[in-house]
Amino acid sequence: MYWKLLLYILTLTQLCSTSGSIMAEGEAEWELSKENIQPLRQGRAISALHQALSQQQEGSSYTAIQQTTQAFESELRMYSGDDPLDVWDRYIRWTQQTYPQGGKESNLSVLLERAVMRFADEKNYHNDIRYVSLWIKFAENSTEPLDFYTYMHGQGIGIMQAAFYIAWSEEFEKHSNSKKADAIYQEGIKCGAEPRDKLQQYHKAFQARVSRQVVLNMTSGGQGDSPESAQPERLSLAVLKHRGKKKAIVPINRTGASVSHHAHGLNLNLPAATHQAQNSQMVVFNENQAGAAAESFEPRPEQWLAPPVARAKENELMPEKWTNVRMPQKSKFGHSVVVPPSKPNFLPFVEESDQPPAVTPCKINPAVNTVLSARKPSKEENPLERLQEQQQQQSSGQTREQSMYCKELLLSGAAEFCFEELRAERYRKKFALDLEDKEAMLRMVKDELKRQIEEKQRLLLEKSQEAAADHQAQHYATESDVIMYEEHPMPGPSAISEGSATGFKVFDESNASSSGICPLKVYGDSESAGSIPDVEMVQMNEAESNGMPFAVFDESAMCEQPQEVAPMVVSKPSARKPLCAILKPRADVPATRPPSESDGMEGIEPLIEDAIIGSYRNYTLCHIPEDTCDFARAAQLASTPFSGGPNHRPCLSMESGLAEDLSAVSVGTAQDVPTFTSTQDGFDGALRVKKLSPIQEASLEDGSYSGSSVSSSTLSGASSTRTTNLSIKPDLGPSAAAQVNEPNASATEVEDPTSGNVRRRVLGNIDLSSFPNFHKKSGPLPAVNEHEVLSAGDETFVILSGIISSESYAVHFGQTKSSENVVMKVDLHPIPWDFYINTLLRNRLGSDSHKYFSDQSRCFLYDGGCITVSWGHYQGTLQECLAQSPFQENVTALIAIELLELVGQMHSCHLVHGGLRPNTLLLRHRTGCEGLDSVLRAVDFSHSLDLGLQPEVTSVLGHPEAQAFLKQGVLSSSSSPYQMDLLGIAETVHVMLEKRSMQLVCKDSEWELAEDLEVASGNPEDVWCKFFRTILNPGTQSTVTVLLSTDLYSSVEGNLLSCSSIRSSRAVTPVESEL
Amino acid sequence: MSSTLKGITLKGSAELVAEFFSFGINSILYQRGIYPPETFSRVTQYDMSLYLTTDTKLKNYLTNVVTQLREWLFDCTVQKLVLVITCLETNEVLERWQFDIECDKTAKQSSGPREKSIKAIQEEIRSVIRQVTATVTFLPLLETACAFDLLIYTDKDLEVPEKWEESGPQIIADSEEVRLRTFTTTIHKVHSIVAYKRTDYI
Repeated sequence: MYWKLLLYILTLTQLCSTSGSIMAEGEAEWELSKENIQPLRQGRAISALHQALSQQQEGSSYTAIQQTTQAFESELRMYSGDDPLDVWDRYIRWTQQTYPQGGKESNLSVLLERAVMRFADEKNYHNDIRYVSLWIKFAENSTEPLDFYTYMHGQGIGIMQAAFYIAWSEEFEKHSNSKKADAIYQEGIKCGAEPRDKLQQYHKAFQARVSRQVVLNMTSGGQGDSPESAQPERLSLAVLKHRGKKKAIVPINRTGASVSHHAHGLNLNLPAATHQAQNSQMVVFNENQAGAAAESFEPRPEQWLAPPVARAKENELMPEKWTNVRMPQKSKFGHSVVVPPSKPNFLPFVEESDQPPAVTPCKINPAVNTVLSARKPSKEENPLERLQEQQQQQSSGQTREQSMYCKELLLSGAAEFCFEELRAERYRKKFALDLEDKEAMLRMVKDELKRQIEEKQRLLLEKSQEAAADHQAQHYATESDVIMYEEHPMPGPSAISEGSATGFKVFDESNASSSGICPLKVYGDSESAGSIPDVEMVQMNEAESNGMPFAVFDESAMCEQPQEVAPMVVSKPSARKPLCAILKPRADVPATRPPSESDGMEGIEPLIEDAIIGSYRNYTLCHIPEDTCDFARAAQLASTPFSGGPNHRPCLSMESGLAEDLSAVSVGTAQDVPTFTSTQDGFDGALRVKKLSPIQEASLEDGSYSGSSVSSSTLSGASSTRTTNLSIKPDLGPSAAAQVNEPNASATEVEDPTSGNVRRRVLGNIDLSSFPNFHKKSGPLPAVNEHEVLSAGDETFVILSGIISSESYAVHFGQTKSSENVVMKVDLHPIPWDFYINTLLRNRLGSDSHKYFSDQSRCFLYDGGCITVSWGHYQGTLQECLAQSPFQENVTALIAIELLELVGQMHSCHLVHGGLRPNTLLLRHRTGCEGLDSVLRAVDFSHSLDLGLQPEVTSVLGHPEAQAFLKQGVLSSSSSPYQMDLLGIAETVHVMLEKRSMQLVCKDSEWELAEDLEVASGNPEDVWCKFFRTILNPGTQSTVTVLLSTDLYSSVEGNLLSCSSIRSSRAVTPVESEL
Repeated sequence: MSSTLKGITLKGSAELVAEFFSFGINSILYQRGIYPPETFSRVTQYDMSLYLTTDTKLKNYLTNVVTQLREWLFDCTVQKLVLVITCLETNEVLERWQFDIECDKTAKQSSGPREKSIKAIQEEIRSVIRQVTATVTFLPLLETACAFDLLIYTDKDLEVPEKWEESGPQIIADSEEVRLRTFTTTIHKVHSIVAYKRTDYI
């Protein structure tokens, strides 16, 4: 016993708040019908109880209950899961709670019987606690529970469940058969029923009860008079004394003095009943029987020998002897059957107002009104018998009747369903499924859209990264340009005028001719000349689909411009292209920001709805105008006065930002006239030091303070440019962005695409060891010296002579053991680039590769370098051959054609040779080249690029071989790497023709040779002049088209023929003979 | 028992309420089968048959509690009496009978009797005890051996008597609560609530 005092732990209010469903005080429905509520072992939910009782009180409003019943009924039929018992279990538990008084309308016994029979054959349910408890409930609902328990035991239902043994034993205990009850417990423990603890606990409690009983019996036996009889005891059928004088009231206390003792009639003084034994008389009877039975207690394994007696029924005729029974004869005259008159012989009074409503006979709702039907005697047999019958039928395999409709579905529940109900149920199910499907589909579409958005974002990100890379590259060119311009006498602050002056040199004929190098003229002739290289950088294959963004360009305007606005370059963009001039700055803002700068947009998910809805893009407003973040950034800039976002720009930096913007404007125009690109840095510098020309200030004002007009023009610009198709975008977007990014790239360096780091990174993605003839060796690179023997792997090579040597690599001729001639390239970096290019050529070209490239190569990769061996017999480099004796023109033509074809083949595989010079090309030896129609071979790929693998390389910037041309201005920062090879061809051919390096000048915005060719003898229409013009000014065409163009071939070939040489495989012979 | 028939004083009210608890607790212990039914004997009280324990230890315990409770009732310092039924083995709280007591503290100053007949009060008490008996219709069967605890909530400034200790509220976590009838002596008002473990029927 605990003495506990709880002090002020909880306040009353707190406690009240915890109470879930406190009912109205005193108004408890349950109390009024407490006698009609069957106690449940697990208790009742008071809410369900209240609901059930109140609804029954109302009588008519069964709807909620009926609906639930209907739902359960249809669920029973439509259930398609793997646990059909679950529905039954829930249904029955719900029924128990909903019908507290039980009774026929609850259908509980029917439900229990159906459920129990439904799963009688399903062995996996036999020891399921839910099924067992259904059985126990069923048994408790019946008149002879013991029979059911025996049956269950025989069938093996619940033999592993403690609850079964407890229920069984308690049933015996009720019959005061404690011996058997005890035996049941023991049997349960022996069988290992679970939970064991529970069983043992119940067993102990039972034993305690029994022992107490025994003790009580013993003491009472000793006294002879039970102590209970001393207590006031109510007697059955005793006559009570009434209370009250006028009105006889039955006394509340009905024992002792209130019982009148002059009892008449039957006076049953029943022996005092103990608490457990309701049936003490039966105890005696059972004891005797059980005494013997308890010892020999053995569950009957067979199925039910003696069927349990039928339920005690009222009004049932017991079978009896009928032999002497006579029907009571009625006398013909005595009792005539009075036929009830068809019409009553009186008229019942009906009030005028009380008109019976005209009720149309409606269908009786079987759910609400119980339909009465005559009881069929067969239905009244014991459920156990029915079950057995059913089983017997099944076991014997005979089915007396076979229903040709879904009978079991119609009758499976407690209520009967009609076909229409089933059909409706199926329809509803299908409908729900359809809905679900639709939902799922919508979800899928949504996901797909989301995915697309993500992809678009990713693409945009990539593009912006690409743009950043471009922009780095771009800057490099700019810087080199600047260096050039700094040679001009005017220093820093006044560089603006300088820049503008340079910019207009383009059109100054005399100026151009006087300066030996005039790089800015290169692409000045037409708009296409400037735009095409940009496009090529991004998408080499879409070279044809461009030009549209530049349609606005007005050639005549451009021609007039120089004269009109010559001194002020900055006014030019706004004057010429007002729309572009205003819109561009905003477009540049996101791009010009350093990538690390946070503008508070990270949290906002960029949304590019337009990209999905329509494929239109507006690249005038900003480079990713559909991106909400970009738009927000742009809006920030457009708002007046500009107060900055989270990252408020100080005034100066804003100006410089604007300067960048404006310079980008000039870049925008520079797409048409690339000369402007070169002016911008000086221009930027001028802006930064605030030495602005009046017009620049005005334009600055324009950009920063007249925001409203800007935004309106932005809108109109956006709408007007909507029609531009998305497909053009990739052509322009990145290149434009790249140019736009220029001013920011001042700090970053352009990476050499041929550097070891880049190649290592590029090759890192490729499993070279899977290539044939690739050998990886551990250990340092063996020393390679002339006239020595080198053993690489299982091969031994004799090094003959060196042909090319540079700081990082050397090329030697060599011979194998079997006297095969090879070229050995020894790289001091462990990057097997040459081998990779060779293999690639072989893979990409197939048999064509044998013409100009080695058909066999091996590579030995060491820790400190690699050796690439290519088979083939060569005379030496082109340079060496030239040094020995000059070529005839027809030989030059032949080699030129071969060179064109060689480069064409490489370019068609997205490869750039990069280092085409007379000293990198080999001429084949006359032996071992029979049957082959080429003399030229490319072996050294030290400067090569694989643009298929290096898509980020879009410009010649950074390539070591291009630097000289960049300086000259022949190549611009936006030139495609492929153009390097064109210049290489020109250089090689020039060397072959003139035996010296070529000098280029820009004349009439075309590049041409500075000096006339000897062979051409001053004739500008000479084949070689045309050849150089085409090669040096590739124009709009891609390099592959230039190289393989029939014009070029036919002209050179024509030249070859005109020199009375034969263009055939035998053309080799004259070359060789010369050498 | 109060001596007057017509009115009721603080002392009489405390007496009546304490008596109610004595019978009420006995009744619950019998009804819920906390002690074996053989250990109870039937008495007639409030015009109905009630069961009182014959177990001497339990009797002494209850007498002690009720005596103490009577004092507190008289002082108007008691707020609640809670009968907690716990499982003997797991100590899990299975049922919680809570009697909230509202004391009219003004009765301490004005000594005059309130107008409410004992008969009327007893009528109310009877209906409360009847309802307690009727709760078997929905309360879950206590299938394990159970023990009970009595908790009394008092005012803060009360000294803890020697044989008492502080305790937690012992609330049932997921419980169903049913409010029972209320009776009042005009000085003390007793609300009854029974809480039990919620059953999951669907």
